[in-house]
Amino acid sequence: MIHSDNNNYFVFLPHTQFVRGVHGSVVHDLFDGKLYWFNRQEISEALALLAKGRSIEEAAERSHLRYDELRQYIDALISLHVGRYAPYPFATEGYRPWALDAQIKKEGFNFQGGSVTIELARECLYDCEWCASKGALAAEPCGCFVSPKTDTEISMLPMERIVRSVELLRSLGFDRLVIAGGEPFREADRLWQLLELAARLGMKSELHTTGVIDCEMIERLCSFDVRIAMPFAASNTRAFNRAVRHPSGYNSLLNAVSRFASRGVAFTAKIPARIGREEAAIATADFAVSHGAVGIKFLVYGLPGKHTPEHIRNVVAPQGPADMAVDLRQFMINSQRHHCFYNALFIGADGAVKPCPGWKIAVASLAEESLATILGQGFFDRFAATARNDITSCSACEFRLGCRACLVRTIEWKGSLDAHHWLCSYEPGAGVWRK
Amino acid sequence: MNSPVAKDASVFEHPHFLIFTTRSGAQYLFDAATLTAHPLFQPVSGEQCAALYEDCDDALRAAVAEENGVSALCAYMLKWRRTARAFGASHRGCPGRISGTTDDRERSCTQPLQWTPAPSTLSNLILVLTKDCNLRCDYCIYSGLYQGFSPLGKSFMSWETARKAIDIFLSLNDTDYFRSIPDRKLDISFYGGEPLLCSDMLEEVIRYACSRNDGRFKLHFSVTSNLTSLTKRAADFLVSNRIGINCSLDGPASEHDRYRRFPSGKGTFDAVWRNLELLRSLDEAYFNEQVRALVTINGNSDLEAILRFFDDPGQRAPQIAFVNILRDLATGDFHKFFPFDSRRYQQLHSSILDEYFTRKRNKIPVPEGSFLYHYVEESLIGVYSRIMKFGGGCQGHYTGTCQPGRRLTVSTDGAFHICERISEEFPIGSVHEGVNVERCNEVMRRYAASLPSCNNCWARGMCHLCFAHVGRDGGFRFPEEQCRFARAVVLDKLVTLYSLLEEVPDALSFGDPLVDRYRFLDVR
Repeated sequence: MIHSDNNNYFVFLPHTQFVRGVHGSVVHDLFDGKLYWFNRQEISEALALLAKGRSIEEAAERSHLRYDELRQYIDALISLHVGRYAPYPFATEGYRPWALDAQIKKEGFNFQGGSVTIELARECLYDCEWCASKGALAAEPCGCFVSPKTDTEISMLPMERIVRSVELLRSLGFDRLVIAGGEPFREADRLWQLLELAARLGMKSELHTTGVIDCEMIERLCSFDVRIAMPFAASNTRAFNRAVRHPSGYNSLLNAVSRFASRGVAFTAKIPARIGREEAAIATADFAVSHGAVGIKFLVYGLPGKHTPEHIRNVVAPQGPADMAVDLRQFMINSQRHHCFYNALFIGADGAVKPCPGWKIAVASLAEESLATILGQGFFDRFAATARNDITSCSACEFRLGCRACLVRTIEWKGSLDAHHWLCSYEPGAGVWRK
Repeated sequence: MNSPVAKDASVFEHPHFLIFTTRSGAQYLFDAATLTAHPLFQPVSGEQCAALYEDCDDALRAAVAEENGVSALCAYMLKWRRTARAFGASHRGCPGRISGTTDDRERSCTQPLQWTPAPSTLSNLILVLTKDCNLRCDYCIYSGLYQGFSPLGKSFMSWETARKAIDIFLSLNDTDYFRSIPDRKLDISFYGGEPLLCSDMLEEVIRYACSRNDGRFKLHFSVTSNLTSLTKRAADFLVSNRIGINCSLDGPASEHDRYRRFPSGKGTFDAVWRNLELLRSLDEAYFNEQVRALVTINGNSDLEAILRFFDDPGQRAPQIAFVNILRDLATGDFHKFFPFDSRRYQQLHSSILDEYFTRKRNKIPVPEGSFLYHYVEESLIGVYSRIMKFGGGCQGHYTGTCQPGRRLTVSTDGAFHICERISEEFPIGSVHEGVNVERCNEVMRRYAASLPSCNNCWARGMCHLCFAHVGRDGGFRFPEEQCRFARAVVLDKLVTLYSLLEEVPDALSFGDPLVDRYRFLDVR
């Protein structure tokens, strides 16, 4: 520990970031993805003063702490490698955004890539109980972004318009194309066109499918550099077919999986986890991994009438400070905009344009206007600007930039963007974590 | 702010880093690859740092284990190498901007220099209505003192050329890509020579552009003028159409008249001031919103007198749009003919900096439009915003040059140029053929091929040099003297910036909420 009478200052190192709330404060180590929580107002005040270049003596005095006591806290921080004693009030820049606000305004989406999701078909071969179209309560969409069923038949967006939109988004810097459904293979011709388009434009592509595909199509799919995501509803035939309500879902999935595995095509398993049946989901995940899944994504869901958002919250909500630690990338996204809206756009099968698939109401329709016109009207500015700091109930919280909860669900279930977050277990005013 | 600091023992320059010392005596290690400045908590010599940059990770780990004098620094370096590729990580086989071979250097230079439209592309049309001027300012770009620039002539833009330029400009903007940019604004500027010598043409062009635009884009017009030949009729037109005026005004009469003169040798301050008063009398609100001063600083400028002039509310001087420090004070063509006392200039510069620091310390606002803002703060913000953008040093291309086509300057003969400041030797199209993308690429390729050993320059991510600075005699030349000066300018800015942030950590609230509100991430 280096400190002498000449070391009157404490300097946070440039890869750390101090964040203060009304009660406590945290120090993020953004390189190691760690977080240190200080749940005492006097300490938070003192650390804020130190971050602003005040001497240790002044910080102790102004925050009504004993000098020795503050030194102890500082020694602890130094032992955690987040700061150092210094003879000068060194200027260090902790938080560095990827893009400045001025640049975002000037360059629009044109930075650090972006992701466009296309709902290629509304129809699906499965009839899953966790499907959004059936009103299931899910922490986040499963990837098959089926819109709620309606009696009226939709008219599909012309393919030419989809192609022009993707080309425009590519020129704006989007580099990822997600193809979802329903079942995209219900519109196989369009699917091949889109995959070829992604390859031509140099975009990474991702396909969400049930896996109920014939061998010829699987072979053709393998010729594309596409990441595939499939639902693994259960680990045995009966439970699987019952869950998806399809008589040969399980066999089709295993057929697809074996072909993908033999061709070295990576796929991700989406595992539905119904409230109260989490152990079965874990067993299914093991099953998926044993069959070659390179990624696992759990979808926690509840049934309408039986479960409430609170049930889901109890399963997925962060349990304490350790769950709020983020790495550099997540911190940067969180501090600039909501991570779900980070350069993201959703285009529905009928042309509905939304910032997020979970968003219920379309912002505009590609059936009526071109994407250039829609983007030019600046509808998406409000989403681009929605960072945690802009949300009233979050701005008092010291964990706000480590929070990854879904903003769309908050609006959906609580009715307001400014409501206490549905997933939040922390009371910033009192500085306590709810059980 | 463009005054090189005297280098002394407190500065150590290395191809991949810089060690600099602030006013307080604090030392920082500036990493060129990531544009990050790191406090040096204990004295470390430049040679020691250079050795650590060359060391592989294992050697650094060994130094950490030894617990010698630099073990804490080594541990810190390892962490930054791993996550941010700082401290030499990027020139050890990793892709990055630093590389060893010529091939790598050329690839890293040319790859980002492929012409691609960006939202700011083609947002500014500059029409050089005439090369003629009613003044004979000594430091005018067309005075004949500058290589690559022909002296003032009698050429005027024809109506047909202006009309075609407007048509091309608007049609180039009428694409899906540009329409997708919210609230896109297009600027049409008139430049010279003295554009008000063609005030009838100017009026016609504005009317024509408005009629052709038909409300598709937000158009803004502005005139860069010496304002000595403003007629009442022209003034009425400018005021009633809210046309912006950028007026050359170097300060009080004693400063302005030193080099800004009529052919007779008489100073122009009185004429300029009279016309500024005319504009103010026609519409004060217009004057405050649309009339701005362009201040040119030279080695003989009395910076304190200029500060007093623009700061004194009793003077009622217009707000400043831009402070132009004569191209490379130390190396420029003008000062070969008009020498100056660099020590005196340095003293004045220091005094201005002291004044700026005092105001910041005492929380006295330095508003946009003031001399201190444009002479000091604006350039600090420029550096700060590059530093604050994470990974800024790993993106883009060397030097501070823009991409051709961002703005479009049309010379009197209808040729398109990269900007109004570059010599006319690098056209990128014309009103007859439109913008020639291949020629834009060619200019960029030639520029990239002419770059000196930027890989071995710590200032490569902060350099201000651009086409306009180095384009001469049909090519791009980077004399070592100019590079040295560019490095000195960056060094000066870094020292000033970090000295300021030490004293007043929240001094630079520059309007970017992503930086301003997260500087300390305090509770709102």
